[in-house]
Amino acid sequence: MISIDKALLRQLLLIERPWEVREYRFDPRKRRCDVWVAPEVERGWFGRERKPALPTQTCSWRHLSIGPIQCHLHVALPPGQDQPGLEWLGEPGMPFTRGLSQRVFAMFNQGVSLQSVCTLMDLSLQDVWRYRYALDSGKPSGAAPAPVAAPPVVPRAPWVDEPGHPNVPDLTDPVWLRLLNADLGLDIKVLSLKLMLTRVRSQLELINDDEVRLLKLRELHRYFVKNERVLTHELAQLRQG
Amino acid sequence: MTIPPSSSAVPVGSGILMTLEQATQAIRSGACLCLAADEALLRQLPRGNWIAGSIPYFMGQDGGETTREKLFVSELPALDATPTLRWYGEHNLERIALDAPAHGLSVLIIPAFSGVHSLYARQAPSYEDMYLKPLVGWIAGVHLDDLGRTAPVVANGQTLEFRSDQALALHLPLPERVYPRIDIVNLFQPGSGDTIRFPSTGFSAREAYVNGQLRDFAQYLGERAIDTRLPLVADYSGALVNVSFKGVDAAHGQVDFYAPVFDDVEYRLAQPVPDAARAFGQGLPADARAAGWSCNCILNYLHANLQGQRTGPLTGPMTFGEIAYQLLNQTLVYVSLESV
Repeated sequence: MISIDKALLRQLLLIERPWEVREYRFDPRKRRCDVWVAPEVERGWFGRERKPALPTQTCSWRHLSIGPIQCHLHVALPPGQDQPGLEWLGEPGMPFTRGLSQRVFAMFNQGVSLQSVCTLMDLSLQDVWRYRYALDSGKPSGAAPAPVAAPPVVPRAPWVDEPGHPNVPDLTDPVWLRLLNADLGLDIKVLSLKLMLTRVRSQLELINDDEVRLLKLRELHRYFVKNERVLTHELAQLRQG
Repeated sequence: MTIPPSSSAVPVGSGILMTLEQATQAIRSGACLCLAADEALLRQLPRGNWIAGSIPYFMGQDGGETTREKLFVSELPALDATPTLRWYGEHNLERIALDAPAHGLSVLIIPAFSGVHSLYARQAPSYEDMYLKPLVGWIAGVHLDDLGRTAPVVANGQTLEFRSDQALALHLPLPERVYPRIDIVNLFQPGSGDTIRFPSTGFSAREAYVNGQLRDFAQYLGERAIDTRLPLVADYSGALVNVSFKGVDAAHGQVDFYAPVFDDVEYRLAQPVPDAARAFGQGLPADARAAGWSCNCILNYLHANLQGQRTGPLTGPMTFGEIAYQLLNQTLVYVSLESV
């Protein structure tokens, strides 16, 4: 049986006091490590607990892997205690810790498809889809704040050629926001665009996170790129702005 | 320009009613087929490239018909590609559009009253790649006399598996020069009356915001003597989408629907349609007349008395729900192939 030092595990997971690793279960065959984390118990002389432990509620999240080993954290959280900033914790109801959420979100932001995220990060489609669904419903992305101020957006010429898609406005073109905000009245003939636009608009009403809003804009742009050949009527109107 | 099907197994158009013998011959020709019929007939079919769902209501070549003795057969445009058939349960339904080919058409049949039916209705709009890839289908049902006694089924012709708790999709790759255009014909227009919103998404509602005021919805419908054969209608950026009433229980204050109402959508009650059969025939856009696949709703069949009547050139099963990407009610869905 393989034994791991709990203190080492705590360091690998960047868990700091007053939290401690209570237990772990490592299954090399399944390439999975489950780790139970809880607040440190104050102990007196002779190792007895100094005061009774607070009631807790256990939340589980998938965390960043350690090499090829999937890491699942089960954290005993005292109720009502929010621990912002701890990357090894997650938001209630989300499948991933903040640390893993940031990584997944960064991939979405780079245009990586959901399926590729699953493959590259060794994540289940169900969990990634749950995360994505939560974003679409207005939950925060968990993305880390930018370390420096983002450079100002320089307006580009609207019809900067997309390689292979010259008729689709660049993602930075303000026409997309106008379309999403219904400031641009578009005569739409394609059913899928009508349905998709409605869905994205209603999702944006719930989403306050700018990064997630950008993600939705990318989705709409991707739709136009994929269906460029059948959207000539709609793209002509976008061109006229 | 529309593209004809690849074989002569089934006449050009959105399909026809056939005998078991004719359907068997069509299957043995190797054609890629979408079938609808009573379960007992489907279980007599040989293996082949086909997907099927149970239903005994049809718009056939001779008009609306209720029959357990015939099968409705439409040919899908295989165009030298082999379709992939895949089952979806509640554990993997979100994969449906991801699994669809990058260029192609997917036909999805879901058994009514199943967990996957409910899940798809509520969540399909949020599935990855939804709306990016053409997806149509319908909800399999049963004869209304058999409600509660027989479960709707979906069948995989490649394996002859029948299931009542899972959905089945036929994913068909198509050449990039071909685009399957999906569209709908919805006879129902929103009325000029009250706006209605719901506090939560679901297949039933106790309350609704009527012109912004929270009301007991069953009571509201009763007070206004609303004809619940007419659906709620919402405007999705120009596409009119219905939610049909299933039942109103005034005693318990609950209204049930055949599709979920969504909490972020505004609805109005539909205006009446005086002559639905004629309206379907006259309301068809030009590209619909050359459609290669179509389905319509059993509620239209019943409420508009379509038995024996034609709805223009389009034929197809009259189903327990229609799919044009997401679940629809009381709507005609059709697919026509275009060259791009």
